[in-house]
Amino acid sequence: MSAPKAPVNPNLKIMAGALVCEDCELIGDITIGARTVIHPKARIIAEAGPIIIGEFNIIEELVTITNKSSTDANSGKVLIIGNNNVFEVGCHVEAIRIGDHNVIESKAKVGSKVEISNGCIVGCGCILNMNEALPENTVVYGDKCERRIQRERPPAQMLQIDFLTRILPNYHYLMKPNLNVNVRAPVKK
Amino acid sequence: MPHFEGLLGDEPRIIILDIGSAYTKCGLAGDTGPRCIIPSETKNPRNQQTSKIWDYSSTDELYEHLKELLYTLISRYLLVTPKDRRVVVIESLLCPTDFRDTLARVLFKHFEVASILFAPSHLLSLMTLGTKTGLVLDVGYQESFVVPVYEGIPILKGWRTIPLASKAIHSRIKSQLLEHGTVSTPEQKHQPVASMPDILTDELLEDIKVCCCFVTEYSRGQQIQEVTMRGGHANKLPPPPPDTDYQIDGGSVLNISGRIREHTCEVLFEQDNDETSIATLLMDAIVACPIDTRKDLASNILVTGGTSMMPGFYHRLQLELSHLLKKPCYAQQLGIKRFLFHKAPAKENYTAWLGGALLGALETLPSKSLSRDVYLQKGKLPDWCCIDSDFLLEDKNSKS
Amino acid sequence: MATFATVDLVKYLCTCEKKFPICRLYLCKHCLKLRCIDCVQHEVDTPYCPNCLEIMPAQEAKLKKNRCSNCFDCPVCGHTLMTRASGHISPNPEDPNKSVTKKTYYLACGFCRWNTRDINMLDQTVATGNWPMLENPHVKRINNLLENYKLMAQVEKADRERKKYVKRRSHLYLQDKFNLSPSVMKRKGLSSFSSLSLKEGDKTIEDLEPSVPVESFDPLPNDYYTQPAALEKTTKLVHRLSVPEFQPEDVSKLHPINKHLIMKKSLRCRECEHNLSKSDFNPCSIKFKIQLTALHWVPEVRIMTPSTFTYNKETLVTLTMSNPSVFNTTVTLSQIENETDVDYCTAKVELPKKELVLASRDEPSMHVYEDSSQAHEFKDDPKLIVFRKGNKIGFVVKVTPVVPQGDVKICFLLKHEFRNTTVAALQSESKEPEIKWLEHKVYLCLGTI
Repeated sequence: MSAPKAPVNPNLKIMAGALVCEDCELIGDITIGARTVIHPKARIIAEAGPIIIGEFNIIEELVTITNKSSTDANSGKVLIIGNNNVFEVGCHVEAIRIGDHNVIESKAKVGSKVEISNGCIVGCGCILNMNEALPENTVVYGDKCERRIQRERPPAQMLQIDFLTRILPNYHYLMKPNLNVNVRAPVKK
Repeated sequence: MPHFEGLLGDEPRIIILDIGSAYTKCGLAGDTGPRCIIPSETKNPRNQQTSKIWDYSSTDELYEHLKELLYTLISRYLLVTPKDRRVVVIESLLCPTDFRDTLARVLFKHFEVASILFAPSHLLSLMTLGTKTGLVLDVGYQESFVVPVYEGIPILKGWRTIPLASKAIHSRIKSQLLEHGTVSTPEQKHQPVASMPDILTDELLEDIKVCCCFVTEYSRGQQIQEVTMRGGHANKLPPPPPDTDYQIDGGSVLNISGRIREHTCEVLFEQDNDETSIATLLMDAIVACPIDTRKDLASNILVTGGTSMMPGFYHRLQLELSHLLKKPCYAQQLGIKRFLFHKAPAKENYTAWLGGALLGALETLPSKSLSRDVYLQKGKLPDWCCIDSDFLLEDKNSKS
Repeated sequence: MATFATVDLVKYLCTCEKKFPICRLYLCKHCLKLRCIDCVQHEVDTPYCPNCLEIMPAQEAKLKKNRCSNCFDCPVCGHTLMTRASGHISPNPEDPNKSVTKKTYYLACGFCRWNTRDINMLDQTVATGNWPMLENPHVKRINNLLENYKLMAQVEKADRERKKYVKRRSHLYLQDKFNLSPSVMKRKGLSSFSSLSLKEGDKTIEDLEPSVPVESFDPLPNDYYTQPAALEKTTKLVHRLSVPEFQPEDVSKLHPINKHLIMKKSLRCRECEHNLSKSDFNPCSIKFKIQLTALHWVPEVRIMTPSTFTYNKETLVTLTMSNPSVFNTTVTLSQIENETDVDYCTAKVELPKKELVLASRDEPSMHVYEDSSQAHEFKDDPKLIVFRKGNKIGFVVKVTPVVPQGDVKICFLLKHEFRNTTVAALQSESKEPEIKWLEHKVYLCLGTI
């Protein structure tokens, strides 16, 4: 596997303990919190403003997270993603804000006017486009995007994060955590 | 193992079938509830088009649809072999003859059932109470239908029907939404529903009715009718309940105004120029009955049909009746003080079915049924409106 | 054209005069006639659970109302629920200083994430079979009613038995029993139920309490007027109707639904009552014990390539025919006399006049490339038989459309040899199977003009 020749991103901040694969696309002002795992081929694009990702998140392959300037008023706003969120393969997120303990399932799409609170699940293939804030513990599921409120929020994926932290370095180049240091070098373990 | 069935257990259980205009209730005799309540429609496996059973243009079409529907019921829900089984069909007194004939043809010729009993729904509903006298009101999909039954005999000159039921509520919701409902999409907020009328499918209207609407209380209802029916000023309306945002898919939100939520069910109770509503239907039915039966009827009212499960329906109906009683036209004719309602040991939408299940579990069923042999021989069905049809039943034949 | 894909182009006429593609027909080996789905009886064979694939004996299925006791469906979205285990640390009852991990189980839906904890259902200590069931609150009352009606029915039946010997002379007897006034007598169709209503003073009424009527009902709670409709707390109609006896309106009242069984069915010829299709007993098996689909016995005609047609002009169309039998089969094609209905026949057709011989179907050599040596073996006329490959031939028919526009439809009578192998095998080993000739009407839609 050859290290990609991506230009050095001066605004990328990776906290110690985070695991970011080299083979993903990180554009713009992005902060990645400790113990967050970013799989290869994920795309995080801080287009209209910075993106701050908290701790213990899992961002899987082919996920796109964009801070988009949907309206001028939103421009320059920070997209804050809380802790313990899971972004499953191929989902597409442009939300205003994402809280804690959410799961965005595969191929789901969260539009740029949606605000996701805590403990929400956006089911496989569900598309949310409206200007709305999902109440806590909302589950959106099915082809008609039906909704229900669940009693408990989805559990944190600690075991999965531990597993990925062990396994991923065996097969992928990683970006070195930097605390505001603009130096990065591919590391092969 | 169909051949073991007879050896191991008792007689094969009787199929109880109630094909309503919106939903079909089906199950086996002796059960406490139907096995399934499914929409009375069939789906064409080729083009996925659904066709409603009751919207038929010819009996051939009806035959095919009934065949499909019954096949689904028998093979997916009941898991029984229809051949040589007895069937109880629950029918409305207003059931068209061609429908009964076609249904009998499907059951006897295609499914080869042993016998059919056509039982009137109102009498069956009363069976679930264990009483023999009652005023049975069926608020279904197409119409509301009241039949007074005294000592087990329907008083036929007392039956009344009015096309006010679910269907009327649905069309009221639809017209109200088209008039001043709004839809928000990601592109544009609060567009009029009239700009995209296609979203108002029958299923959607039904769901709005079930989830958002309710029957308001009497005094509020009167105020609303004052404005909507008799042109009172809109500021006389009671403060409407809050609007509800109804999600359609992930992409749009339908705004169900509080007025729609509260006003739509008024369609059942509004007294238009003819001064008829569900409540007057009951009153008129009682008036049409012999004077010495009226008190018994008024104190034994049984309401069936899915629409009567709307929240607040009973409360409102009871108040409507007691207010009507004060009206001079009724007060003089009826010597009644109060109305009493029965609650059947079943949900309203399958009360008649439960009566059928009770009837089907009895030993006397064969003697009241039309057997396949007789049907094939005579080629006609007994009907309550034909005097000479009694000879078709099994016991009469066995005697001769 | 594949057998199962474009099935509407070539249709065979069933014995009941309806047309079906051959893959939807059966050949009854005893009547030697084609049978369509309407000409057969469907019977329940084995009910089984589609999730755990366990057979449930018919009797047990009856008792359990056709539901599996171990598998559940999600009451919200209908997905199959999974059993999930979770560990709880609780103090050891014997030694308070130590703690033990207790495993408890709950049911969860992987699709909409509903789980039994959502409705405050207690976790179970065993994984299967112990989930609380809902019971219809009216069961006692209904059984009570039923018992009473049964007693009455017995009385009525005994009455009737007696009546058989006492000749009825007038309606007076009936009037006496049913309290019928003469005007009501006319409605005898309705009155046959009247005897089932309860009669006071009847001995059976004693233990049945009459239904107690109520005079007034509670008004709706104030929330209806002050709150928006709580959509996420209200069940939809499908949820309610999936449990007819309970029909909960509140999502917190939804309960896991026992999975409904499905069945293997067998088909039986309506005329001779022999089985046409009977599947293997075991739900895990997809094999059949008996499978008499016409596809296995009747030569299948297909259209090889689409052709273009012009009005009143002869066009050559290549059809193929394949032989499902393990014997060489002789086939003749002939015109259907007096088939003039333009709905089914819009072209004149010139069919091969000679007998066509189809080679036997030989499974192992099916996939081996065949050279033209077969053609010599069967002495084919190359003008007629375009190709021959295994058990299949391609042959030419000449079609002349007689309508200026629309679909080009032809029909012919297919007559083929049929050797009843199963019956022959039963009769004697050595004897050659008896040859019968079967006729089928075949309708083809070749294309448009």
